[in-house]
Amino acid sequence: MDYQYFQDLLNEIILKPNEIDGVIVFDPENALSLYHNMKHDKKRHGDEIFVNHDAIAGSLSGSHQMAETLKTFGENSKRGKLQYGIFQLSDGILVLYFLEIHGKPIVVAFISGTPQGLGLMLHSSNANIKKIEQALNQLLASVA
Amino acid sequence: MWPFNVMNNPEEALNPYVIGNAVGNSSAFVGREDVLQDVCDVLQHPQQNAIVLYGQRRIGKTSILKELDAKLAEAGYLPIFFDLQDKGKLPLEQVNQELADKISDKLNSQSKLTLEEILYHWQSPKKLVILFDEFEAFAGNELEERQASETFFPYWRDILSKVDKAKLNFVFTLGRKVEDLNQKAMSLLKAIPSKKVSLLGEDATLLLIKLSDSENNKTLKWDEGAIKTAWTQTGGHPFITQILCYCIWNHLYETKRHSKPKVRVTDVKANLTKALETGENAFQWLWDGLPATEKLVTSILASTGNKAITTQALEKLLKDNGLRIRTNERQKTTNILKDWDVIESVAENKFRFRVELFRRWIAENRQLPKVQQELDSSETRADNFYKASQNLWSNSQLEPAIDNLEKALKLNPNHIGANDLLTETYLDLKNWEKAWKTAKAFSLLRPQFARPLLNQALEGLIASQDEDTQLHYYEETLKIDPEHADVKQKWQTIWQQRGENAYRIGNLEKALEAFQRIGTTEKIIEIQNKLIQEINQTQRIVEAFLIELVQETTTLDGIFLYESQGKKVYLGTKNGVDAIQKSIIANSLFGSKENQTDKISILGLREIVERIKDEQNDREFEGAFFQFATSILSIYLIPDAKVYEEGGNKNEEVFMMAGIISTNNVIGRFIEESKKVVTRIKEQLPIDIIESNKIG
Repeated sequence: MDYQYFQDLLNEIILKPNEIDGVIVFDPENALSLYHNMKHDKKRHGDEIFVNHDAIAGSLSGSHQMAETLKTFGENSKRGKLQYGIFQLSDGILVLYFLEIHGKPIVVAFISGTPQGLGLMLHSSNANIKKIEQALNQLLASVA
Repeated sequence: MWPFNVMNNPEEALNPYVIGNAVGNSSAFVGREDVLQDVCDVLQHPQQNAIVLYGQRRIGKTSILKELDAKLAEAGYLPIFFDLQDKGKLPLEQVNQELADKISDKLNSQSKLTLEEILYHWQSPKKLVILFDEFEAFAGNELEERQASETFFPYWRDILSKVDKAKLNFVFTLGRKVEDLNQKAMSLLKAIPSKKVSLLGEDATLLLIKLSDSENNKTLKWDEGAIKTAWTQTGGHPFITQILCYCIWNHLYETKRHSKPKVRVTDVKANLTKALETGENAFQWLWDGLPATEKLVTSILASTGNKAITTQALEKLLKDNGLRIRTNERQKTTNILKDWDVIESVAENKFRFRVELFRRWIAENRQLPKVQQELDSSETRADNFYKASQNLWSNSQLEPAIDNLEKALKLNPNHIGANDLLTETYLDLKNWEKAWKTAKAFSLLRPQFARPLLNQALEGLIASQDEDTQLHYYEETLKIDPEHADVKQKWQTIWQQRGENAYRIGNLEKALEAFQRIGTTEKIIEIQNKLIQEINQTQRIVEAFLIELVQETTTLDGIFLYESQGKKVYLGTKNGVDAIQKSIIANSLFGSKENQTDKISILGLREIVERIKDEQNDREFEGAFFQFATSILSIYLIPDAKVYEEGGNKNEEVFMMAGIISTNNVIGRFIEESKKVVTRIKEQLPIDIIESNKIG
């Protein structure tokens, strides 16, 4: 698996009519983005909003610690494994998946520039997160 | 006591120790090789012809000059010993002529020459070495000395620059460092090399101690332990060593009947008190050489015994004794005391007395109160300002009196009389603020004397002030003088009144605060119990409200509220409040009360939300939803629920977090219902929940 395959994967997600305007993979410990989509759907807002990927990674730094708390909560209250988190904003939606790749926390954020369309977003993000996780496992192993 | 035994001794034994005169050129002169070498180096140096020897009083500077006087003459020089003591007030011409006459005498000159004629036209094949003793006699503070220094030092600077360096040499002794002299003196001496005359080393001190067991004098036998004890007690101070040994010698010849008695440790110890008495003038002389602040510090140090003391311990002692010495000045003081061989460093920030006998003398004769009294009168300049201010005050010239008193206190902040009179003067002028400040400073020195003045100043100060201001001044006063019964009483009365008023109108927190300040235990317990009841009641009301809300929904199972001030979690579930659920939520999501940080708990969500808002064009956070395998949890923030202006926890913003749980994981309906619930919480939440938890 090479970088181009992964880049194509992210770009394909964006170009589908699924309300997702951006995908960012970031390292929450260092608050820096690792990968993100390179193409945008011109008809949507993806090129205007959430363009600074490092800023998004920065604003979500520490989210992996919060996720750890929630995982503990899920276990203690017998509510099962944490699957994802949604941040509903007045002008957008963030769907976050908290992964662990080679022992390091990695967050995958699916971003919408509008507050609507959570259903399609979840459908698409749930459908793609496994592929992204597998690709990241290989890609990050190759750069380590 | 007349030494009968000595008189009866057929060998006519003589005490070899000298306690009056300088010992140069005698067998009692020991050590000092380093100093003599430095002088020789200067004499032989083509470009240098002067050296300054400095050291504390009675350290042996004059003895060194006397030794030089003798040894240089033997070496072919023409040394002239010239003592400037008591000449500081004489006209320059007279001093110069005395010196010129002395040189002429040595040269056997028949004609009367001026000093310039001698120095500028030196004809003798011998090199002239003028040994000036007590050179700082012209650098004193008295008027005549100041006037003399105006002409004396520039004159000698001129001489030194013009004379033939190969033929004319000068040795100056000073009782202080060159840097501590006045400007005129310093301008003459600062370019001249200097050498400190310090305490004797152990070897030289042993030689001195054993003067009575040497080639020239075999009158005592010294036990090794006795030598060691004598060394420990004198620390190598040549004059004090002479005194102690002199006393021991006399004591043994007064009491022992056989010749050449042996000195034992007990003899040394038995003569310590006698040495202190015999050396009274010398110790006094040494003491007088210390500046004011150094005297205060030395007195305190001496009272702590002969152990080493840390800087921190000294600071505490100063504070405990009400002495105000600024940090810089304190460091300067310890440095001066080290320079003068009074103390020595034994480790970093740790020092002790160098001469134990001197410490004992101070501890016995110069305790702090006595030193303070002494300083009041001996700090001449400060005292002069004080005396001048007394006259002005008596003539009702209060402003000029203040001017003088402030000058006196600048010179000596611990001047009792000046502190006292300055406070009184401000009181006379009804300048209450300044009177109070001065009285506070005075309180640090003499709380009992200052108390009535402090009272008067306070009364004037608070006469037309509101209660808060009165409290402020009472509290400030009590910080300085916690035992001030009158002020304490007034302060307590105000808080008592405040507590009772607040209690009467049901403001229990205010009442509690007031009674806690004055420590009224019964009232505190009574109010705390009442508040606990109120909290429990609040808990019940809030949780009933949450249960009501959750029962109106179809998808929600439970609602919890987290309140940051009291760090409390309220929980309402469909099946009633479940203590286990509550405990799981509280501990899993928020950590324990004692170990609660944003890093480890859901509280970090607040920080993330703030960052998103800042970095994403003010997009407002509406809620977070976390999908678990069998459940959904949503978190909403209810910001700015209440901000305390005072009391509370460091004026922190108090916020609430609403969490909604559903075991039905249909997220769409859950979101809709949870949004409605949060809107109702925001609108209808009993706001007293936070207020009640302030003391929780």
